[in-house]
Amino acid sequence: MPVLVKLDDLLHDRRMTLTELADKVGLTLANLSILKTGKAKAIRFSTLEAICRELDCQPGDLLGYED
Amino acid sequence: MAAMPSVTRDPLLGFARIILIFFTALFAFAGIAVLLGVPALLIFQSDILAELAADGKNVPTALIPGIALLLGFVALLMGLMVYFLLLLRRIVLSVGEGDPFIPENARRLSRMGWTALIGQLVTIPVGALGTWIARIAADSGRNADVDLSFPGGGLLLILTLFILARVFRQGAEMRDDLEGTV
Repeated sequence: MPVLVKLDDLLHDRRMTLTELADKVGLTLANLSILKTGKAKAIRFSTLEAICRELDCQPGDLLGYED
Repeated sequence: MAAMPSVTRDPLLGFARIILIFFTALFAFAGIAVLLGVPALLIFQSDILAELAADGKNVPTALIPGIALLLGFVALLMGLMVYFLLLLRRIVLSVGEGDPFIPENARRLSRMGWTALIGQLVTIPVGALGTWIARIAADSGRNADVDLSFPGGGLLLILTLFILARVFRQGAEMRDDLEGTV
C-alpha cells in the first residue's frame, strides 16, 4: 500500500508500547495492530487526532506516501 | 463498532429465540400430523363415504380426495412456516453474535419474502377447497365456517421482507466499506 504508517518508529522514540498507546487513545489493541501493520483501509480523523495528541507528533510524522 | 448484547444477555433476543423454537416445533408437529392424515383419509375413503351414506348424507365421491388435497396444502403451509421460522431464527442468532449486517441475512430475508409469497398463493386453493367443502357440509346440514379475508396483511409482510432484504444488503456493503477502518 502506498500510504505508510510509521507508528513503530514513533512508539520507539517515545518509549511507549502499542498496548499503552491503545489504552490512551481508546482503540482496541487489535485495531491499533491493524494500523501498525499497514492493513488498515482507512483512519478516522478522531483516531489520527488522538494518536498525534498522545505521541506529540504531526500527522505527517505518522503517515507517509511512497509510490 | 459497539458490540450488541448476545442472545444470552439481551432478554428480547433470548425471548425471541424461545418463541421461535416453540412455534417451529409446533408447526413441524402440526404439519407432520396433517400429512399423516392424507394417506389415512384416502385408504379409508370408501368406509367414510359408506358411513356418511348410512347417515343419510349424500356427498360427492370427490369430497374425500378434496379433503385430502386440502390437508396436503395445509401441510405445505406448515412446512413453509417452519422454513420461514428457521430463517428468522438464524437472523436472530446473528444479531446476538453482534454481526447482523452480512450478505447471508439479506439472502435469508429475500427467501423469507419468497416463502411468504408462496404461502399467500397456496392459501388460494386452500380457500377454494375450504369453501367447496363448507358448501357440501352445509348441504348435509352441518355447519362449517371458512374465513376468507383480503390478504392485505400478507402483501404488506411480503413487501416489508423484500425491502428489508435490500436494507440488509446495503448494510452489508457499508459494513464491508468500514471494515479495516480504525
